[in-house]
Amino acid sequence: MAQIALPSIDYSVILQLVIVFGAAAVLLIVDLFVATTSKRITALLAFVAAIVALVAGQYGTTGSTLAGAVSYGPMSQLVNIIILAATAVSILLASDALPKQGIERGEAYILMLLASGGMLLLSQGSSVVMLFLGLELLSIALYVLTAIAFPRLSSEEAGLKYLIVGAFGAGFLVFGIALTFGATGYLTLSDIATHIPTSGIERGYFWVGVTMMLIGFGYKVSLVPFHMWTPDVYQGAPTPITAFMSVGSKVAGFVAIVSILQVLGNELMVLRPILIGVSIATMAIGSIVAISQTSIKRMLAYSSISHAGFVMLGVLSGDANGVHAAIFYLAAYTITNLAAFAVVMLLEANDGSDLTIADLAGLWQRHPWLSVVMSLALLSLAGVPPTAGFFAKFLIITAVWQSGLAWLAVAAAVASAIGAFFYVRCMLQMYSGDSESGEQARIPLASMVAIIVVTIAIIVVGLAPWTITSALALAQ
Amino acid sequence: MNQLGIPLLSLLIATPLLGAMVVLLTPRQATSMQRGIATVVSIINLVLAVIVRFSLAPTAGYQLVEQQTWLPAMGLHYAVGVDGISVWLVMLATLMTPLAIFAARHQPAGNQRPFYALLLVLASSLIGAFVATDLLLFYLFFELTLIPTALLIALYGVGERRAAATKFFVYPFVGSVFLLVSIAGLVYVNWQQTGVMTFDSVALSAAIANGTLKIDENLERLLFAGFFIAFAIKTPIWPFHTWMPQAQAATPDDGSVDIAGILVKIGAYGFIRFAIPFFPHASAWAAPAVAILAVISIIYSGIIAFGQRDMKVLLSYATISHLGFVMLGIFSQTAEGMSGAIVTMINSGITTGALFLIVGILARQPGGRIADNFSGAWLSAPRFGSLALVAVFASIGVPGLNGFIGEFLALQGAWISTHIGFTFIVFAVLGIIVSAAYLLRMYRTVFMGEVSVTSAVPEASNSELLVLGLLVVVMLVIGLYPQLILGNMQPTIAGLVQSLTQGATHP
Repeated sequence: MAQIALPSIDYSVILQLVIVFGAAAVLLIVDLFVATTSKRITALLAFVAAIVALVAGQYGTTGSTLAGAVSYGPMSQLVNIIILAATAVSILLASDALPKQGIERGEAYILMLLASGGMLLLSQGSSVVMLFLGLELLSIALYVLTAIAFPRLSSEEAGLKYLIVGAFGAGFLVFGIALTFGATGYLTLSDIATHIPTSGIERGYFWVGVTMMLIGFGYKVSLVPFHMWTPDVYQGAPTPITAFMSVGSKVAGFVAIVSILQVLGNELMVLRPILIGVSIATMAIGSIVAISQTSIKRMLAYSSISHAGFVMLGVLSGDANGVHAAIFYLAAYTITNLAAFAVVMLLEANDGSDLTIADLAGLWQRHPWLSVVMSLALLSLAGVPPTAGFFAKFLIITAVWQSGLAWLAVAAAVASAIGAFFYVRCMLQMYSGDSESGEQARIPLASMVAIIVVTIAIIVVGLAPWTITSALALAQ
Repeated sequence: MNQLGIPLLSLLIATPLLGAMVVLLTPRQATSMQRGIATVVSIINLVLAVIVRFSLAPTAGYQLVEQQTWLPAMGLHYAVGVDGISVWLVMLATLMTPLAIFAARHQPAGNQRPFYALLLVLASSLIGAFVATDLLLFYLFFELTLIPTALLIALYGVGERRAAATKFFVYPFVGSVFLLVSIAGLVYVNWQQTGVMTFDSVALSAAIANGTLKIDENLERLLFAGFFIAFAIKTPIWPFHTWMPQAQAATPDDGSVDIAGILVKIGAYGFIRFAIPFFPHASAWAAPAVAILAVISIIYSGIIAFGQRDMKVLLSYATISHLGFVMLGIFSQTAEGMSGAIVTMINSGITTGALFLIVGILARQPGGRIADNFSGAWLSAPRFGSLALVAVFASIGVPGLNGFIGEFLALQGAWISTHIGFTFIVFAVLGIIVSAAYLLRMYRTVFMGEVSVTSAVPEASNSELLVLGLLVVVMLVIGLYPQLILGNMQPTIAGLVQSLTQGATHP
C-alpha cells in the first residue's frame, strides 16, 4: 500500500495558530483543577495566551505551508493582531462580567480562545477547506458562548437561533466549496484563481459555488439579507460575548470574503452589481432600523449591520486601496465597538437584563468617565473626528471614489448621515435628563484596563492613522 | 513659521486645549478657579492673535505657514497659515471666547468644570478651522466644533435642550458628510489629472486657477453641491437655517454659548476660502440661485423676527439676516462684495455678541428673555440703555457704526457683479428696513415707556458696562475707520478675485 505523503509543516508560519490552539487544549485540562470560585485564573491564563500569540506574530515567517493551505503575510499579520487584541480585551471584560452575572465557568475563556483560533485560520487560510474549518471552529465556539448564561432563557434562545442560522450559512459554504472544487478541480485559492473556467457548464458551477461561499460568509458578517439573526443574538448573548463576536467574527468573515474575491481577479466585475446592491441594502437597513431601537444592544447590532455595508464598499472595489480601507475600517470598528460594549457591560444589571437607551439618561452625573468613553465610542461609530471611525469612513469614501463609483460614495454619505442621528441622540441622552442618584458601581480592575486601552486606541488611531496605514502599506 | 521660529498658529490652537486640560484638573467645586484659568487662557490667546495680526505682511498668500506630514500615503498634512482674510476671523474667534466666559459669570451653581473646558475646546477648534490650509484638517476642525457646542447645549441649556442639541449636531453633520464626499472627489480628480495626491487647498486652488486641473462641468457642479450644502447649513441661509433658532432658544440664557460658537461663522468662511476658489464656474453658475436664497433669508428672517417675543430667538433671526448680506457679498465674486461679506461676518459677531450679552443681563431679571415683560429700562439703567442703543444701531446698519460699512460694501459688490445685479439689492434693502423695525421695536419695548413694577432693570454692574463699552468702542472704530480691517485684507481679496477670473477663463 502506497504511503500517504504528509505535506511538510513550517511551524513558524502557523506560529500563532499553534500557540492559540495549544494553549486552549492545555487550559482545558488546567481548568479542571481551578476552583469554581476562582475561574479568574483561567481567564488570566487565556489572556496571557492571547497576548503571547499577539507578540509571536512578530516572529512568524512570511510564506505558506501545509501544501499551500495556510499562509502568512503582512496582511494576515495585521489582521491577526486585530483579532488577538480583540480577544485579549474581550477576555478581560468577560472575566469581570461573567462572574457578575453568576457565570463561573472557566470554559468560557477557553472557548473564546478557540474561537479566536478559528478567526486566525480564516485570516491565514489560503485553501477553501481551511476557510471552512476556520468558520466552523469559530462558529461552534460562539454558539456555546452565546448560550452560556444557562438559566437565562434569552441566552438559550439566542444560542439556538445562532446555531440554526449558522448551520444554514455553513451549509451554503460547504456546498459552494464542493461546486467550486468540481468546477476547477482545486482547493487552494491560488490554484482556483488560475483555473477559473471560461465557458461551459463548469463556469456556471463555478459562479454558483463562489456565490454560495460568499453567502456562507455573508451570514457571518451579517450582510443584508442574511442579517436577521444579528439583533436577537446580540441581545441575548452575555454582553462580553456579544462584544467579542461582533468584532471578531466580523473581521475574520470579511477577511475570508476578501480572500475569495481576490481569487476572482478581473472577473469580480461580474459580481460587482450584486455586491453593490448588497452593500447599499446593508447600510440602509442597518441605519434605518437602528433609529427605532430602544435597547442599546439591539441598536449596536443594527449599527454593526450598517457598518458591514461600509466595509463591503471597500471590499467590492476590488483594488488594494479598497481592501486596505476595509481592513482599516474593521480595525477602527473593533476598538470602537469593544469600548461601547464595555460600557454597556458595566452599566448592565447583574441579571443580564437589557439596557435601554433611556437608562443612559444622566449617566454623566453618575459616571462621568464612562460617559466620556461611551461618547467617544458613539462619535467614532458615527464617524466624527477626531476618532478612529472618522478616518475609517474617510478612507472608504476615498477608495470608493478611486474605484470609479462616485455615486456610491454619496450613498455611503447618506447612510452615515442617518447613522449620525441615532448615535448622537444616544450620546446626548447621557448628558441631559435626570440622574437617579444611583449606585456608584465601582469599575473592576480588568475592565478598567480594557476600557483605558480601547479608549486611547480610538483617539490615537483617529489622530495618527498611520499607526495602522503603515502596516497596511506593507501588505501590497 | 515667523522669524523667531515660534509656531504661532499652532500655539493659538494648542493654548486653549491646554487650558481646557488644566481646567479639568482643578477640583470640582473650585468654580472661580476654573473661571479664572479660562479667562486668563482666552486673553492670552487674544494677545497671541493680535501678535499674529501684526506679524502679517500686507501681501496675498498664506503667511506664518507651518507644515508637518500627517498621513503621507494620502498626501495629508498638518498645514496651517493665515492671510488677510482668516486673520480677522481668528481675531473674532479669540475675542469672542473671553466675552463668552464673561457672559457666563452668573451661571447657576453646579459643576462648571466641563463648561469652561468645552468653551476652550470650542475656541481651539474654531481657530483651527480658520487657519487650516489642508482640506482634511479643515474638515476635522469644522466637525470638531459641533461636539463641544452640542455638549454645552445638552449640559447647560434650557428648555428643550436635548432635542435642540441633537438637531444642532445632526443637521450640520448631515451637510458635512457630503462635504467629505466632495473633498474626496476633488482630491481624486486632481490626482487623476496631475498625478499628485494632495489635500493642500493652496495647491488645489492654484491648479484650478492656472488651468492644470480642469473639472468636467457636471462633475464640478456636483462637487460644488457637496461643499454648498455643508456650508449653507452651517452659515446658515434659508431654507437650511432651522437648527439655529432652535439651538439658540435652548442655549443658556446668558448668551455665552451663542457668543462662543454659533456667531463665529465657519460656513461663510468656507464659501470664500474653499467652495468658490475651487469651483469658479459652478459658483458663477449658482450665484443667481444663491442670491435668491440670500434675499429670502434677509426678508424672511426679518418678518419672522418681527413676530418674536423671545429676544434670543429674535437675535438669532437677526444673525440669519446678516448672513444673507454675507452670502450676497460672497457670491457677487467681486472684491467689494467679498470684503463687505467678511466685514459683515466680523461685525455680526461683535454686535450680535454685544446684544446677546445685553439680553443675558436682562434675562437675569424676573422678566426673562421675553421683551414684553420689560418696560422703561432706560429710566432705571440709563448707561446700560445707551450702550444697548448703540449696539442696536450697529446691528441695523446705521452709518458711522460698524454694521453699515459691511452691508454697504456687500450690496455694492452685488450690484456691480455680473452674476447678481441690482434687482436683488432692492429686496435686500427692504430687509434692512425690516431689521430696523424689529430691533427698534424690541428696544422700545424694553427700554422706553414707564418703569415696569414687576421687572425693573437695575443699572448694569461696572464690569458689564466696561465690557459693553469696549465693544461699543470697537463698533465705532470699525465704523469710522473701516480701513483698519479692509486695508489688511485687500491684497488677499485681490489675489482671490484675480484667481477667480483666471479660473473662469479656462473652459
